[in-house]
Amino acid sequence: MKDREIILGVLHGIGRRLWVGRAVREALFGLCVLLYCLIALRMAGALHPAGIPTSGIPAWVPMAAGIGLFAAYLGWRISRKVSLDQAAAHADSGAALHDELKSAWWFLSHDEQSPFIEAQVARAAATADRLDARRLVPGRPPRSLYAAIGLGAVLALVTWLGPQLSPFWDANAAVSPTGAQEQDLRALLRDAPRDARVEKLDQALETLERDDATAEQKREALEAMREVSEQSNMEAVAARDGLARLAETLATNPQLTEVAEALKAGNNAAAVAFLKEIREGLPPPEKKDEQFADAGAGGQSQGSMTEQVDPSGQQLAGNTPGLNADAVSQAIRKIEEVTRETEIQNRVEQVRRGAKERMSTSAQRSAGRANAMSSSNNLEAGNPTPAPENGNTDMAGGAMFNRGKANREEDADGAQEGTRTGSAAGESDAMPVQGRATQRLDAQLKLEAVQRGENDKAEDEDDDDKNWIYTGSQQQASALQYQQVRARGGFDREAAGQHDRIPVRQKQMVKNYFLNLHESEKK
Amino acid sequence: MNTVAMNSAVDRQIQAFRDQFQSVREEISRIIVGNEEIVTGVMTCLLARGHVLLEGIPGVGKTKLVQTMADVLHLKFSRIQFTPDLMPGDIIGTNIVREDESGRKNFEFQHGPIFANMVLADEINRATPKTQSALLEAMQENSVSAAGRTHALDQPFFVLATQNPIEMEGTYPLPEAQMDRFFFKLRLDFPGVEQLHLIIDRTTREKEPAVKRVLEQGQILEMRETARAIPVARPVQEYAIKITLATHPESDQAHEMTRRYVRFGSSPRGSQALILGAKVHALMNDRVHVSCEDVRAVALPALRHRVLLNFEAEAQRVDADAILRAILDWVPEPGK
Repeated sequence: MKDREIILGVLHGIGRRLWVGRAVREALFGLCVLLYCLIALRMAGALHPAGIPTSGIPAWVPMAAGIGLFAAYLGWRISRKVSLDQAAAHADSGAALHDELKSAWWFLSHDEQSPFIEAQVARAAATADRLDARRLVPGRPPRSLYAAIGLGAVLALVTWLGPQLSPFWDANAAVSPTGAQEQDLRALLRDAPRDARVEKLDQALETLERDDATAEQKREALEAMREVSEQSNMEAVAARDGLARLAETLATNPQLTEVAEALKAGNNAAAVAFLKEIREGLPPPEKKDEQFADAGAGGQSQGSMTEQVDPSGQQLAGNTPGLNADAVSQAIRKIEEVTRETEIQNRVEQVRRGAKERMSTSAQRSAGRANAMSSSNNLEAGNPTPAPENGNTDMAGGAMFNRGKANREEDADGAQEGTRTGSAAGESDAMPVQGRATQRLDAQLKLEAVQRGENDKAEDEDDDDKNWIYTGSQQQASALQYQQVRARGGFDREAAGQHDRIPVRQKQMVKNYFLNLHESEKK
Repeated sequence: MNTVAMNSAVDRQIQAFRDQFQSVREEISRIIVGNEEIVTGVMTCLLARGHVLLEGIPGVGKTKLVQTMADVLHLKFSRIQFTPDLMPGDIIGTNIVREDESGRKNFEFQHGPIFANMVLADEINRATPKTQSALLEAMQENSVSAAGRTHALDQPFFVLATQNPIEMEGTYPLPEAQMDRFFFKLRLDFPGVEQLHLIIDRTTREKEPAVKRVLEQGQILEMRETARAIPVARPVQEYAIKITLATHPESDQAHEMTRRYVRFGSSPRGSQALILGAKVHALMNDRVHVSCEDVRAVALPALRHRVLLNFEAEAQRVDADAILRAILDWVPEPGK
């Protein structure tokens, strides 16, 4: 009985160590397979970004199912016990026992009796007593550990170098500081001036970042983002337009020439600094102008930004005798509001673009390439030449053409901030705002719409041509571009096929705009 | 008898077996140069109640080995030189008419040379099949039948047959049934240079070395009992069976070479030979249990004459040993 216990104890010990070793090997094998799959996924994602979904339900459901099945298979393999027969065989081969323990265990388990069997079991027990399970089954790391380490290193390398291996990789975008900032879109919004649009954008961004958000919720969030962006763009355009008028008005006053120059150069901070200096040299106001008070009180909520800036400019024009401190303060406030509006617009635009990229980087890259090859969609076409200031290439060339100067700012250190970009032709020095002929097209359209809304309201009610728009031809409509296919039900639905929809009534204005644009380029 | 005493008795028995075996081997080695494996194989056959077929070219010491063994073992020895005109009666014996003192004549069985403990059937393939078959009953049943009477052979009964593989003209190759009755088929190779020096030194001097009898008949029988008593665990037995089945081309456990080159595989006697030979091999190595290694050690002599090759094997000069080695490398040990 004692011999039996000795043999069983040794075999159980060896069996346990064998099981642990096997479990470690199996787990490492599973890890190796997982790492291999991740490497393959990374490589496939880098080489074929459009074909391999890397996020969302299409990616996670099969991935989770595969991982689950593989984990179950591994669990089954690990849970298999090491039999005492196997332990005895391992001990026999490891200690060169010539099947002594295997035979003894078989006799013990089958309860056969004979003097020779007892002698054999006694000898086996004595042998087993001398065995050291730790030497028979050493706890050294299996080879698969080194394989796992190697695969982990490869994965790290592929993760690091993967984007650069991709033919779709944009080196400039990768090193762009703007791209780095967009990694934390919420942080961009936290730093932005508080505004209802910012709040709305923040909510939309939160929805997009939520894992449990449905596709419909995400689509609605993107739609909200687009609305906020459009609203912000319109507000910013109007503000810049007003600022341009203010600059023209101030330029007529010899005392405010520097301010006007600063405004034309897009350096709002310098303009405000000049105005503050001028204000300090003026006597304090004796009585408050009711017109300015009204404009100041309702500045943020009533009328357009252009209308708010104009009155202060009229008070500071060259034909006004002397300078009024109130008017200067009003101008300062208006410039600051325009600056704030521009800042909000910049942040909103960055966040919207960042969110789009985050939703599907590969799709955006493909769309960008498709746009770059398209001649019918220049407004959204990627700017092929990086701007010299910040290296941005993903700005919409036509849309940002006239925006550069007005957005440009300089802080105290001279470092330039804001959206300063090159033109679609690659020229970094954008055209300055020069009045109605070259005024931003959407600003003109909005202005036209406002004027028509006030003057021709009654006429419109009877006129059905407000719905007359130029749409793409049947051939154009049938020629679905890759971008449009990708956009179905997706994030950039708003970008697909919208640019041909110009109302008939505004056709001449659009034509004039582009004629003037080309003439100014010739100059 | 308690367990300790029983174990010590078994140990003594095993120790005696090993010592006696060793003494026989040492004594034979005084005459026979080299060929330790052959000596061990012959002894294994003797202790496993089997018979051995020695094959080798002329002059390598087949007959000398058997004669030396007969000298070392205190057994009754007889030698039969097989020739084409040898008759069964020349082996078994025959009834002769004998006249007693009263003048009455009666038949009396005259024992043939097979009535001995050790029978050397020299150049067995030179006798006709009819004569060769005379050995069948004696080798398997340890008895002979003559004139309607069965005569038991004295134990131990041990046949050592020799045959020459190159002089095939005028020979009668042993039939499969008779080959199967040999426990082992041992091949004597040509000795090496050192062994030749030793052979010349020992046999060209004035006096050849003499051997003494170291093993009595009773001791041999005890050793046989000891060998039979060694237990074999089922996994080892399964291993032997798997090897046997791997020699059968129609078996699903057959090796690829078996399917290609073997016409008939080993008989169940092959499995018996594997286990019995492994038992003796284990005892020789001071073990009470049989291991797969023991089975492998005796697999070639136990199975090589039981595997019948087909024409393709003959044409490609693939011998049974090559097939058996492939099988031994292929069949996994139990638990691995």
